[in-house]
Amino acid sequence: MTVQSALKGRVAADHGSTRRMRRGVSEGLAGYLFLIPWFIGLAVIVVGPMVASLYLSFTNYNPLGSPKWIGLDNYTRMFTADPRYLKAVRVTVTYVVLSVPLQLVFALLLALALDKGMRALNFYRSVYYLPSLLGGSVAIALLWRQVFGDSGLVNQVLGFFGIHAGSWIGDPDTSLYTLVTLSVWMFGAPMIIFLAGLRQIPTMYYEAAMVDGAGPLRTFFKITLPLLSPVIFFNLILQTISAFQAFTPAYVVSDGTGGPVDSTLFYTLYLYQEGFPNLRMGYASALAWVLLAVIGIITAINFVVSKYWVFYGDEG
Amino acid sequence: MNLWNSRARVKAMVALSAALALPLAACSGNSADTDTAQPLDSSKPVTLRIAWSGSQDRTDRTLKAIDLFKQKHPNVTVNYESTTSTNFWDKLTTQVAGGNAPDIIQMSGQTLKQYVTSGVLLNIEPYVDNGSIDLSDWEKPLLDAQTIDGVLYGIPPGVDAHAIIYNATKLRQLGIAPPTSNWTWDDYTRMVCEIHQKGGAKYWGSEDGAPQYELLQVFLAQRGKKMFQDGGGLGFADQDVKDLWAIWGDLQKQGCVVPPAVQQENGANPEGSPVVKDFGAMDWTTSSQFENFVSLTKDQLGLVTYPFANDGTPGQVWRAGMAWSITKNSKNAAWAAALINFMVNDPDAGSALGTSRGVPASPAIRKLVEGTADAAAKQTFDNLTLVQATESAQITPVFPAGFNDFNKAYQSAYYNYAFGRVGLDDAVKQFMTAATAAASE
Repeated sequence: MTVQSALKGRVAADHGSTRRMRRGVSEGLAGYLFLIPWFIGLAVIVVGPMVASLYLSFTNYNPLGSPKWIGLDNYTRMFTADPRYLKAVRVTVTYVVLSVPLQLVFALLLALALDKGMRALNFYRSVYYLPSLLGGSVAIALLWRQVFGDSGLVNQVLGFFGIHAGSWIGDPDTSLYTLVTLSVWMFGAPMIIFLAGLRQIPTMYYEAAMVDGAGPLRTFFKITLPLLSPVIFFNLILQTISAFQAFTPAYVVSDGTGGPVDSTLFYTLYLYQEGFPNLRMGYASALAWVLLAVIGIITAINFVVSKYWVFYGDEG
Repeated sequence: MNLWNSRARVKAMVALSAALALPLAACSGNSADTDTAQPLDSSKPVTLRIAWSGSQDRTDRTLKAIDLFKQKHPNVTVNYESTTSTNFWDKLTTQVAGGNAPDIIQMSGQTLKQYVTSGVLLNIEPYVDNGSIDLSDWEKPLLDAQTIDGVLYGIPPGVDAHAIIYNATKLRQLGIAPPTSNWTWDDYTRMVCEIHQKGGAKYWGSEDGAPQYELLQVFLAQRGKKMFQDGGGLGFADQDVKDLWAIWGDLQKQGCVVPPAVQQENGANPEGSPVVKDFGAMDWTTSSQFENFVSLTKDQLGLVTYPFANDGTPGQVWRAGMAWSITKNSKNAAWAAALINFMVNDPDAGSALGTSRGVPASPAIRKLVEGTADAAAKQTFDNLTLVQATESAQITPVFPAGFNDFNKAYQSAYYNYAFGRVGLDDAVKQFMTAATAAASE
């Protein structure tokens, strides 16, 4: 709604007199002047290093020395001679495929529950959002190590029921799933967005559905879901991108090793290991560019596929 | 109106929100090589930067020594950077790449060659020759361990030995006699299984030491071999690694030592050690860690040598694993050398530093510090004396530049074997392939 009124304001300004137009030009200049610090930041902190890393991705670069041009060797090595790279890809894809849908379903269910107009809604909204604020932090990753450890909380509860499991963190068969759980637990951000989306669905549709005698399930699938689909799409894309870039949980839980036996070797963690401890910054740069390309392609595919399931009100 | 009901708006929001991370990389700059000593000028103000990694205790003690230096040389300002060891190397790499490395770095024997071949470190010899750094009564092997192609690149502050730390209180409770310093591998395996039997299902005899290259080093020394040949290349064969890992495979099968999953969960820092967290009685480490361990637990701890070979060959290893090095881009190399000399040779600095970097390397300071050492520190002196006195004790040499890859391949291959992902033969083959490549770097 605020966007709408802001747009209206701009339209009004555009239709002003020439005098006001001239003032508009100097206002525009002032605007760009104010933007300069941001542009400098963009150039120095984002674009510059990106160009540098593109160049470095074609070099053999030990950061202690100087880069040597090796053409496409880094890129061919990735796909032909680096088994750890393939492991990292497998771990990351598994993580994305599991954590994104689970997190979105969880966030949507809670948003639906909170949308029922319960008392102290603000309180619950804040409480459920807390994990998202904390989840990326080192403290929570350490806590996770305790919860899923050999003598951690999970095993104590299971032990109460007579089930004796080993260390969830230390076992290569389960360690990745503890990180998926951690990611699902951080459902707060998509939940808030879902909640906002639900609030925007006009109640008249529900009233009409009720009059027509539709049950709650039918209402959900025929009204809520289609009208919420742009929000779902938005959350899907953002969560997919951030899942591909997940780093901190694996770094902290595995002490930076991606262990046990590379079972939590996220793509970005491998990138970091190659660039810093292993001093292969050229290869790490190539890894980063491949990740950028892959995320770009997957986002593009998501946009293409979205035509078949996302319903925009303005296309009636 | 609905914020979400326009395709264009959703697209714009995605574009706004999607931020892609790329690693920052900076260009490197190295200043010219200098193989001559600069003069020491007390009339001008000088600023030195020094960086080290380690515990808070080490930092406090080092700062005390630096303060003493500043009192004697009021024209010198010293800025310090101290971090945990994980962050230390990442930060240093970035600083070197950015051309703003500190003047003095606390190097490690595992990375020395990498830094030297990349041209980061200064030849220190001119400052030894002109008397700025006095090494006249130092033992030669200590300095050999910092020498590459005949050039000295670092001054070791301290010395320590490969050693096992055990929980003496626990052993007493279980009624098991503590290990003695000429015990053998058979004694070790028998003892850890006895501890596990008496200690219960969740108490193990020892940490699994196999992922640590130090064990391989000692195991090879007991066979008269070395990890790396002097001229480059590996100094051992598949069978040596197989024999060592087979011992650990057996111990794992019997459940006597900490299982790999529990070990992975607790990490490699002293804080996660079975001895400290009380789920195992022994930790494979180095003698310089002893005081740190003592401060982390209420139990009484003991320090003992690595087990001897079953035929009695000691094959013990000690090291001067750390060194103060000067970077080539230092504008005040002469003052850096003076500060290093002060930290390793001055009696007051020696007292302040104590055993924070192991038993002091300078013989004079070692005697001084030993005289005032507390019980725990005294044990590290005794352990080192004992190890150095064993027949043909080795000092850890300069490792090849590819050591980091070698070490990672070693750990990764062993854990693949310990978790049952691959058999012993395949695990060793996997390691040997990577190790051969790394050793030639």
